[in-house]
Amino acid sequence: MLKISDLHVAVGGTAILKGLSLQIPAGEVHAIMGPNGAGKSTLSYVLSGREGYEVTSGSVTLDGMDLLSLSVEQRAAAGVFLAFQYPVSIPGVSNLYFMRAALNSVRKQRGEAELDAPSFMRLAREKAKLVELSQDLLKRSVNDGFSGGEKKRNEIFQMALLEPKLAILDETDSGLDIDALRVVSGGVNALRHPARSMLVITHYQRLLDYIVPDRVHVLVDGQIAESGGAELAKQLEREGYAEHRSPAT
Amino acid sequence: MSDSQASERDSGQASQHSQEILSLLRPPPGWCVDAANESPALAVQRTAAERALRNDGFPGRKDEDWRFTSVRSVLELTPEAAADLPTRERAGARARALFPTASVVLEVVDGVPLVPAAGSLPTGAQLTTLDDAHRAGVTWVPVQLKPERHFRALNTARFEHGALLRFAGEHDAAIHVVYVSTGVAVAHAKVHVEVVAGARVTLVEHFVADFVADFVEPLGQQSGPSGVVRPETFLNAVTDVRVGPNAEMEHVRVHHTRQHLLGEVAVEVGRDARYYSRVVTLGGPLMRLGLHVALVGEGGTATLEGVYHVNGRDHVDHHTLVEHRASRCTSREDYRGVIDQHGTAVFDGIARVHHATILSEAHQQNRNLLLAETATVHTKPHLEIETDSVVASHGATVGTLDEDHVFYLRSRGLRDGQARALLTFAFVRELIERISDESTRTRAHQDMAERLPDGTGLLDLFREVP
Repeated sequence: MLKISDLHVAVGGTAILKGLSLQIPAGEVHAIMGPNGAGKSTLSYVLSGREGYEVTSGSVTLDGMDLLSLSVEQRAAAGVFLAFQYPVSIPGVSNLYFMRAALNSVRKQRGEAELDAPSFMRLAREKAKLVELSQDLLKRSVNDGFSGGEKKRNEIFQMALLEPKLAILDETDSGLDIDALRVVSGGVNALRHPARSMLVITHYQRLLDYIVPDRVHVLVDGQIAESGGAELAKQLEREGYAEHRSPAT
Repeated sequence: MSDSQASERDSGQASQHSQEILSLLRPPPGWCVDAANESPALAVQRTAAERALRNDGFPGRKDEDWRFTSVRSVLELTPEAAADLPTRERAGARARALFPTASVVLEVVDGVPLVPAAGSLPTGAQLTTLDDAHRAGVTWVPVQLKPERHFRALNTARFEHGALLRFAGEHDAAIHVVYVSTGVAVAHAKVHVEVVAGARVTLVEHFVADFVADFVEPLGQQSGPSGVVRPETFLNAVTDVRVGPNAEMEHVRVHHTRQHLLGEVAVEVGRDARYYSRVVTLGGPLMRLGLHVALVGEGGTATLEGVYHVNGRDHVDHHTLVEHRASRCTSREDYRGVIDQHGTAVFDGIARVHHATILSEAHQQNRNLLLAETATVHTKPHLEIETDSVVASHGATVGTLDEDHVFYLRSRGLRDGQARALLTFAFVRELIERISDESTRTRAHQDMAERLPDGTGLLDLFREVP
């Protein structure tokens, strides 16, 4: 269970999140929607521990563990995973060896034994099937020369390997055609799990046709302005965010 | 610093030069070279070089090419008596042992090439002493470097024995030249390499004096990382190369030594010939490479690639000059450096396209990764173009690691140091990867990775998936 309480975050002295509270119980998928500049990306970065974001007050816990006191890699070990909007390419490092290092680093931090090469390979092949990632893409350098769709499939593959407790998908639908969207969403849906909380950040409702959320929250000016079921996304698609921008009455 | 201060200091340096010239130029005790026994041609060259040096002195901060690199530490050294032959041979044996898989190794000890065992050179390769080469009239002073100046002049005046390596035919196995030291303060190496028309060869020069350091007698004051007492030594190494018409040469240099190393390389590239320079520099208290490539025949190509890693208080300087003296020639240069801690790197690259040429292509690029605020880089790639018939580009970048990238790797569970090491290595790896000789490439990768904080296990990530 992810629990965010009255979170205030500033970047370079400017307040971005202004008292955001949100709970995502294990097993649920929540979507965060909102206009540009509402603080959606800031939320994903603060949760994953990126430097440069100043938490001025509030708390974030995952299964009771204080996330805010942990470094980026410690959060990864604690089960936080962020699927990037723009995944980074690393020429010369094969996808497979990178993920083996990542997984073993996480396992080591958790006090678990490292996986040997054959076990890892079996695991990687199995997870690659989820998002139809070919052997070729596994062997190639991380995201190097990958298409937009391949990069996003690769993100979900990484998520499948790391088996997070909290998965954050940041604008995962951006730059995807319908076919890629279907494959990526299929992977995400297959990774729904009773022990996993998922946070889907998106600007458009389209993704939520494929990944149907349990709850939808509207983020406006650093706060949750409205929450509802999956139907709220459709309403926003029709009506836009204009209503949420007007001063509260 | 104001101009007046600068000039005061320079004039101060200049007045010391005469003393220092006398010191460095002084023949070492027991100097064995006897002009009467040398070839007249060589004796003439030595005299001319000595005269030039007495006139010009050594470069100071006033010289544009040496603005950022001080040679003071070298000028303070005094030539010492040469080590005896058994000592040199023991050092040579150690040098050879560093390259167990290499088929051909020429050991250069204190600047002096050891005579290789009979039959150890492959068919088509020939080794002559420079003295004999002069007698036979088959040696040369690079066309672009007359008269010789500075340390090159010192080298000509004071080298003990040199070697001419001549290659005909195609050589698949790399030829290794290994420079080591027995600990004498000053050494001059002079190696000429000729790749005759249509021949093909890979030559790897290794400057690895440290790796025989445990051999060195405890003469000096500096203590090395292994606790071995290491004297201050200076190697003044000149390598002159001619690549004949339609020949191909890959010329790798690995500078990985705590010696003070000033290296000069002059290359003439003939008609339709291909020259590939691949340089790997791993620190050094004073390391300077002057690489001067002249494309003298139509259709020649020169590729200059270099990687440097500088940390501690090391100082590493690469000066390159590519001259297009003939038409339809292409040059490409790509140097990448990583500078950390209090290290300083200097890169100066000139591509000069002469006016009488047409259809030239010249590209150069220097990229630097500064990993600490205390690290310094001076970079200056430039073009000197005297004709319209040319396609040219140049550029330099100085940056830090992209924090987006570091964040991505850490978000996958990699430690911060591990993430930085990985990205740093990825920045230079591609160029090392192009070294064709497997043992050299593997060693360069390992040595680079070991220099990075948290670089343990790094190479496993960069292996190819079978």
